[in-house]
Amino acid sequence: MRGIYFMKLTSGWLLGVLILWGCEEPFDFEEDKDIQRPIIITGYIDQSNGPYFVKVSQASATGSLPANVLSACVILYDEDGASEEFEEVGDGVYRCPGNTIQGEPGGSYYIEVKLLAGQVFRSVSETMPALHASDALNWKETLDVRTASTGLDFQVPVVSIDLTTTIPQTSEPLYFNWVGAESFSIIPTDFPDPFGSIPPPCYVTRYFGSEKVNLFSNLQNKAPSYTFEGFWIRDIDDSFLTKHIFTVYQYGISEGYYNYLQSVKVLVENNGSLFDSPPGRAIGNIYPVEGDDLVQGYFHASVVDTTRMAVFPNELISFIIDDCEYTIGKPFSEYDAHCLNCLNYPGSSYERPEYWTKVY
Amino acid sequence: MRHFLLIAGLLLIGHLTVVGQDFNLSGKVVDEKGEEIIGAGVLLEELGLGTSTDLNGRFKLFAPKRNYTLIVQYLGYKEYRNTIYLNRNIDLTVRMESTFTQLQEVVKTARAEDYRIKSIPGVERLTIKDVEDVPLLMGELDIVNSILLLPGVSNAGEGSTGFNVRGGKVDQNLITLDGSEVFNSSHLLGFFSIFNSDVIKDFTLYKGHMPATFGGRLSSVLDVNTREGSYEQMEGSLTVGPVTSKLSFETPIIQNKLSVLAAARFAYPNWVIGQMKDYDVKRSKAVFDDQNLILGYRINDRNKVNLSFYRSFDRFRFSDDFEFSWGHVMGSLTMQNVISDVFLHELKINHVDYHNRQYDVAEDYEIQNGIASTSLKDNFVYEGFANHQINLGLEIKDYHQKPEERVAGARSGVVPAHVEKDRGVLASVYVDDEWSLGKLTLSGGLRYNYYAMLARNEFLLYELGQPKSLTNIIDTAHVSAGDVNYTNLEPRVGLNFLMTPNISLKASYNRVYQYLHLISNTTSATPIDLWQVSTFHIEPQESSNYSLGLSFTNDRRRWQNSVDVFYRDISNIYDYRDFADLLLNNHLETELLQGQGRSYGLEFLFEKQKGKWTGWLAYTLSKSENLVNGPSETERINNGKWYPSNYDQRHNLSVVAKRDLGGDKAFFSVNMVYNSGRPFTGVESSYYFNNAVVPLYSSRNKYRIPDYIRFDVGLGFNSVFKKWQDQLNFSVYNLFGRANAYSIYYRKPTNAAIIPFSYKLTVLGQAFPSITYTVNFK
Repeated sequence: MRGIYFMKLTSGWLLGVLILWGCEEPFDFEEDKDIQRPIIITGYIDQSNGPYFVKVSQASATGSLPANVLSACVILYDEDGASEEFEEVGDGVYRCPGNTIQGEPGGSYYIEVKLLAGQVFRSVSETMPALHASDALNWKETLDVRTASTGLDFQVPVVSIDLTTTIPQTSEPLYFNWVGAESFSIIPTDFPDPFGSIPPPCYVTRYFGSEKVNLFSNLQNKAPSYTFEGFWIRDIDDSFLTKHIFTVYQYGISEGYYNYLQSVKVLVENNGSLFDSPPGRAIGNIYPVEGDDLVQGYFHASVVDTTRMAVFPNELISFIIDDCEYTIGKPFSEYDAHCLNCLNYPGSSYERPEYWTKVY
Repeated sequence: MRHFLLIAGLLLIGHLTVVGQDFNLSGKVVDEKGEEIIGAGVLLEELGLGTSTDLNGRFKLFAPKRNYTLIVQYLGYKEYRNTIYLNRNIDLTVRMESTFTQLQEVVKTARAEDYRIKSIPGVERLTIKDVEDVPLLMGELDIVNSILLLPGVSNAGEGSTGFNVRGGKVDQNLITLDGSEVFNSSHLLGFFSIFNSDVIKDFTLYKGHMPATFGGRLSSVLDVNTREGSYEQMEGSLTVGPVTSKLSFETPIIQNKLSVLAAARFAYPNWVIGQMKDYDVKRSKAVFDDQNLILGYRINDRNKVNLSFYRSFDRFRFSDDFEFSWGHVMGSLTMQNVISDVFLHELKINHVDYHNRQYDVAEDYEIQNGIASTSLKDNFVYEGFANHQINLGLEIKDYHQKPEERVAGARSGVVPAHVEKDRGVLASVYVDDEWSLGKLTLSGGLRYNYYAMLARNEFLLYELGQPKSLTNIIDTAHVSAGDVNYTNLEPRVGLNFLMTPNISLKASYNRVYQYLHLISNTTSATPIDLWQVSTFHIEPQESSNYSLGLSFTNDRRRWQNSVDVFYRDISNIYDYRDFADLLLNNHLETELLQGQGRSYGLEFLFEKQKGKWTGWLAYTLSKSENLVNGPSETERINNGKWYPSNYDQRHNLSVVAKRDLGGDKAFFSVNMVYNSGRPFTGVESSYYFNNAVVPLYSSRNKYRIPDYIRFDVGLGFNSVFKKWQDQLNFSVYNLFGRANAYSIYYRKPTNAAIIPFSYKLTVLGQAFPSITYTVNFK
C-alpha cells in the first residue's frame, strides 16, 4: 500500500513539474556493456493438479532480448522432501507435470535449478496461502479523452473494466496480486472460392497491464471489498468484431512475494521524476547455492483464482469497421496482411483457448 | 566550565589590547527612512582603517586623536564623506542618501567596494538591490534563484526544492527568516522561494566560515532579514506579473516611533495550466500565497522591538487524482537594547510551524506530517575592547515533530494510522570574536551544543553486526526524557590577511553538527518530506569544513575577484536502503544507512562593479561523494566504495552581466548558466517478470545526465510614466528554449518489447517570456 501510494506520489510530482512547460524526448543512452548479467528464474506452483512452469533466462544488454537458458535441470521439492523433475519444453521454459507433487494450500515448496555450466540456484521455501478473494468484473463502454500533439482534445471509444474484489474478513494478513489477459479471434477475409471454404480464425491471447503491478494487502485496508476502477481501459478496435474475453488471474501470495512485487512495482512504474526513489535491485527468493553468481527472480507458491468475462460486438454502441471484409474489386495488396493470413497478426495462433466456448 | 574559562580568556586577551590614547568612534548607518543599513563599509581614510556595519547597522572603530575623513559606502547610496576631529569618544548617526535618481556613473558595488577583500572567507552578503536586475523567471524576483548564480551554490534543476552549497545536501543549509528557521524554502514545486522580495532587506549566505552565532546545519547559513516599515511616511508598491502579483504597504502608526509593513503575494498559474495539452494536466490546479506583517517599535534611542509574522500556503492538485498542500506559519519577536555605546543586547523569540498534507482523491485518505520549532536566542555584542567585536550568547531550540497521521475519508477503506514522532531540544552557548589586528582580521568562535531527545520512551535494540531490521531485534531499551543526548563543541576560525591594500589571503576552519535531518529518499527534496530529529539510532551529522582563499582588486575598485578552495569531511551522513519505506514508519533507522561524505572544490569569482557593464562570472569545480560501508552486505552501497552524491556536479559556471542604458532610466541584463550533468543510476539490462519488463539498474549514480546550459535576458525601465515611480521589466528565461535534461528515465515501449527506452525529461523546455510592472506609491 505504501509502495503504491509512493508511486502515485512520485508520479504526481513528475506531472506537477511537467505542468510548467515540461517535455520529454527519447535519449540516446550508452550503458556500460561490460558487466555481469544475472540469471533470471521465475515460476510458481498453485493449487491445481499441474502442470507448473519455470522459466530460466539470462538478462541481456539493453536493446537485446534475454537469452533463454537451455538444458537446465529444474527440480521441485516439497516440505516432506518429495521431488519432481521438470521437463524442458523449449525457449527456456521447463514444465513439471505434477505427477508426484501437487500444490496444496498450506504446503511449502521450493525449486533447485542446475545449469549446464555448473551453477546451482535454489529458491527459499514458500508456503502457499490458504485464502483467496472473490473477484467480479464489470465493464462499460465509454469515451476516453486524449490530447493530440496539436493540443486538441479528442475522444476515443473504450471498454473500461472495473475489478471488484471481496476480501475474506480475517485477522490473518492477506496479500494479493492480479494479472490480466485478453483473448480474441481474428477472422481473415473470406474470399470467394469455388469450394466455398471458410478460412479458419486465429486466436490471440495476451497479457495486459504489464506496465502496472496490481497489489493489495489487508494490513492497511480493512474494507470488505475493494474496486480497481479502470483496471483496464481498452480501446475499441477490430479485435471486438467477435467475442472478446477478459481474464483476471488473482494470486493469493505470501508476504515475501508481496514485498518482492512491491519492489518490482517501483521499478516498473518508475517515471523518471527527480522525486523518484533511487532505483535498486529487487531481491527475490532465488540464491546461488555456492559462489556469488548474480541471480534474479522468484519462485512462489500461490493460490490462484480465475475470473473471466466476455464482451460481444452486439453489446457495443461503437461502430467497428471490419478491414478484412471482402470487397469486390479490391486488390489483394490493399488488404492488411492478417486479413490474408491471420497468423500474421502478432501473437496469433490457430489454437483456440480451452475456455473460449465457456465464457458468455 | 572549561569552555567558560576559554571564553573568559578570549575576553581578557581582547582587553589587554586596549591602548590608552585611542578614542572610540562608533555610530549607526541608516537610510533615508531611518532603517539601519547592514554591511555598509566604514573607513577612516587617513589610516586606511575600516570596518563594516553589523546586523544593527552599527560600527565601531578605535583610532588615535586627530582629524579624519570618515567615508561610508553602500550599494545604491551616495558615498558619505565627512571630516571628524576625534578628540573624544564619538557616537554618531550617518544617514545615507539613495542614488536612485542621482547616479551619474552607476556604481554597482555589491556592498562596500572592497567587501571581498575585507570579508571573512565564504560570505556572500547581498541586498535585494544586488539581484533585482537579474532576468526573472516568470517575472518574479527571487533570492534563492539569485544565489544559484554564486559560486559553490547549485540545485538539481528547475522545479526542485532547495539548493546545495559546496556539495552539501539541501537539509544541510540553515535558512532563517528574521531568525525563524525555514523548513522548506520553496513555493510552487520549487519554482519560487517563499521570500517576498518586497519585504526583504538583505540576505547573507555563509558558505565557508560560519560565525559561532549560527549552528545546527553543516553546509551553509542563509540568513534572510526583512526590513521595517517606514517610520516617516506612508508608501507602498504593487507588482503585477504573469503568474504572481504582490502588494505591499507601509506606514508609520506613530511618527518615528511605530511602523507597520504588510505585504501579500499570490500566484495564479492556473490560466497557464489551462493552456496545456494533456487532458489531466488541464484539470490540475496550483496556487500559493504568502503574507508578511512586520511591526517596528522604537521605544527610545536605545531600545527597539520588532514583531514579524509570516504565513504561506501552497496547494497543488493533479486532476482528480491527488493533492499536496504545505505551508509555514512563523512568528518572530526581536528586542534590541543598546546597553551602552559598546554593549548591545538582542533577544529573539521565534516560533515556526511547518505542515504538509498529501491527499489521495481516488482512495479518499490523506497523510499529514510536519514539525514545529520554538527557539530563543539571547545575543550580546560587546565592542568595548579595541578592534574587537564580540558576540556572546545562548540559543535554545525545541524541535517538535508532529505525529504522522493517515486519515481516512468517509468512502475510504484505508486503515487510519497514527505514528508518534520525536522531539529534541538543542541548547547552545557561543562566543564569537572578530578581532582586527591591522592587516590581519581574525574571526574565532566556539559553540557548545547540548542536544537531548525528549518524548520517546523506548528504542529497539538490534543485534550487533547485523542489519537494523525488525527481524534482528534483540531487546527494547526504555529511556526517559534526556537520556539520549549528545554534547559537541564546535570551533570556528576564520582569518583575513591583507597582504597589500588590494590583495587578501583568507582561511577558515569550522566544525559543525547537525541534529535535524530531512528524510528524503529522492534526488531532490520535496515539501512532503519528513524532518527527523536525532535519536538513539540516528546520530548527529558532523562536518569539518576547510576553506582557503585569495581575494584581489585594483586601485579603483572596478574589479573584485576571489579564488577559494574548500574541503568538507562529513560523518554520519544518511542514505537509504533500496526501496526504503519512509511513510508512517516509527523505526526509520531500519531504512537508513549511515556513512561518510566528502566534498572538495575550487571556486572562482570575477566581479566587475563599476562602469557601464557590471556583473560577475562565477565558476566552481567540485566533487561530492558518499561512502556507505556497513557491516553487512545490505548495509553497503556500491559494495562499500565511494560513489557520487545525487547533487555532485563537476562544473558550474554562471555569468551575470548588466548594461545600463542611459543612467538609471533603463538597463539590459543577461545571464548564462552552465552546469555539468548530475549523476543518475542507469538501466544496464532488463528481464521479463509476470509479463512485465523489469529494468536492472547500474551501481548507484554510475552515469551522468547531459549538461545544463541556459541563457536569460532582461530589459528594465524605470519611471515609465513620468510622474510615477514605476518599473517595467521584460525578461526571457531560457532564451534559446534549450531542453535541458532534468532527469533520465526509462519507459517500457508500448509494444511490450523487452527494451526499456531512455527518455530525457525536461522541465522548462521552452523560452519563457514575462512582463512585470511595479508601481510604487506614496
